[in-house]
Amino acid sequence: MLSKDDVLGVSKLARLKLTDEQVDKFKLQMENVLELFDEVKNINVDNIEETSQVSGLKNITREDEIEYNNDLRPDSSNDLLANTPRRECTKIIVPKVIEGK
Amino acid sequence: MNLYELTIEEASTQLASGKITSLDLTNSVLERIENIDGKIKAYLKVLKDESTEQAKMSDERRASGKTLGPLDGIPICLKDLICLKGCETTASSNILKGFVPPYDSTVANKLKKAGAVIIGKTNCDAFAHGSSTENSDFFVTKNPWDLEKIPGGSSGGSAAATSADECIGAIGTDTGGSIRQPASLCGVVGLKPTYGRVSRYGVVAMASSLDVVGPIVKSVKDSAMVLEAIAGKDELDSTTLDVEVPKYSELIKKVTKIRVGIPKEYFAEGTDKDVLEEINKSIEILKDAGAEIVDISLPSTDYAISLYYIIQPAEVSSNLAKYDGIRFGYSTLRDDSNQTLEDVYFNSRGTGFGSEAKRRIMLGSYVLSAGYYDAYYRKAMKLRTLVIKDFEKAFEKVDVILGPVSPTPAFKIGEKTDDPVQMYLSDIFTAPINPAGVPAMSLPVGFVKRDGKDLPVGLQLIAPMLGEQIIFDTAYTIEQALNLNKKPQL
Repeated sequence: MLSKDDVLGVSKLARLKLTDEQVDKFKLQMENVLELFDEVKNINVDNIEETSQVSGLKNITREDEIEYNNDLRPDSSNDLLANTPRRECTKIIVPKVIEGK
Repeated sequence: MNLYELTIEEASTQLASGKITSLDLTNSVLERIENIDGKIKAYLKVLKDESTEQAKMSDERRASGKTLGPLDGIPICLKDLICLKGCETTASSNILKGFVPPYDSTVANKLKKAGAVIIGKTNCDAFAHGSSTENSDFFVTKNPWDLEKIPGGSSGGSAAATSADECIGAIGTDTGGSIRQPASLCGVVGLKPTYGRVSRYGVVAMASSLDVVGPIVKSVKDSAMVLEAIAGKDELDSTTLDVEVPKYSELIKKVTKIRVGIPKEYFAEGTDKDVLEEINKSIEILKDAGAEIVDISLPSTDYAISLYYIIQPAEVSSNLAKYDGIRFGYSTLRDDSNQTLEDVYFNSRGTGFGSEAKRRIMLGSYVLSAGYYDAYYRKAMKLRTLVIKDFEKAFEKVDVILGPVSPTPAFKIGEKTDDPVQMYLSDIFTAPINPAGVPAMSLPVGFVKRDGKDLPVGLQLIAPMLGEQIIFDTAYTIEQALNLNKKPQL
């Protein structure tokens, strides 16, 4: 079963601020969901390969060249940055991450 | 008959013969939305001016002999996960409120190039997390057959709009049943194409190894017509398959001697008896057509829902990590620049995400975290291999698999909102399909009476990878024999 600290630990990993009420609620609900997963515990998967996706494709590459003629690319960096919370021209402003002068 | 009731095929024929114009059709749909969407609440946004303009352009193209094909002039709505350039796209989430995509998704672009009129954006569970559309951060969509019931989810808005004739066709997305289950509960045709058949470029990601885009429409033929228009290789989505797209709608024919697999796990206890009775009628139709009915077993059905609810939240937690309050979407930085980077992350995500998104991010982070990764995530990836093998084995013996879409008809609004496990279990027959990647359709086949109202029942048809044509053919055979023409009373 999960402890309250487990839930808080996961919320830190996930960068989610939760209220006390949410922590209690999620603890209970996550326990219930994890209980559902108990049924897979006893299934033998020795020597079974892992599948992460089913397209059968891998390593799709292309030349590292800018395409100017694709009508599905944004028209300009200005358009692309229009949704940015804080910016100066084409630069995104982020809070200071390194302390000191 | 009102124009808004037409199928894509019917509307296309009438447009081609000059009997109607796209403007007539579009106005009829817009008027229908105005009259009834207050009750249904399928739409987040109706593009009245833009769609009128597109309809006029379609009519002009037709008048000058430059029509773009069978979808030219047909009003189609998009689930709000699908980016439409210049039009707010929120995935029904608060964290994306106000987000205006600077580009079209490939699917929107393909529809535009086919001449379709984009009529609006439809409601869904936020980020497609849900089976009832109750997880929309904005409002709940109602089932047109009974306004007290959920329309299913997550593409509940697209399914309800199609069912209530608030569009001629719709686009949805399906990660674990999000096209098929609402189509089933609303009585319309929903297709989950093969993984990689349709580009996801510009579609808000939920779980990238499972997500597909597909049509929610009023007939099997319509489903084929839309898939033809939106499928295909896209260099902007490297998971798309480089396989030619057949002319499904022209190839559609009734089936005779096919082998139809009936998985015993789908007909076990726990599935509503009345639902199964409707499903069984369709089995009889196929038998009469000459099909061989084969009893099969998909043992992985019993645990597939568990592996789905491990893999899916794991991928959700990873995909939703991009909502950091720095680059786009809801951000506490907009009002308060005096925060640390960590504050911006924690506060923006804490306020911006709704309960279900948080729950899935938490679950996903948990199953991926050190100490639990092997027990949950790695194990689920191995079980996924077993699910795939189950289907491969079944398809050695049969051409198509048949069963219910949902174990019950539409349930009451509010009935399962506080119990995530019960909500998750409503995906029990749809969720196993996505990890295997195979295509599947929900086809309306009948009704059950609940609380004095008729509620639709959907039949699920599952085919091998890229086996969409066999699904269309089988569904078409059943559809033509049933000839259901009941509409919700609104």
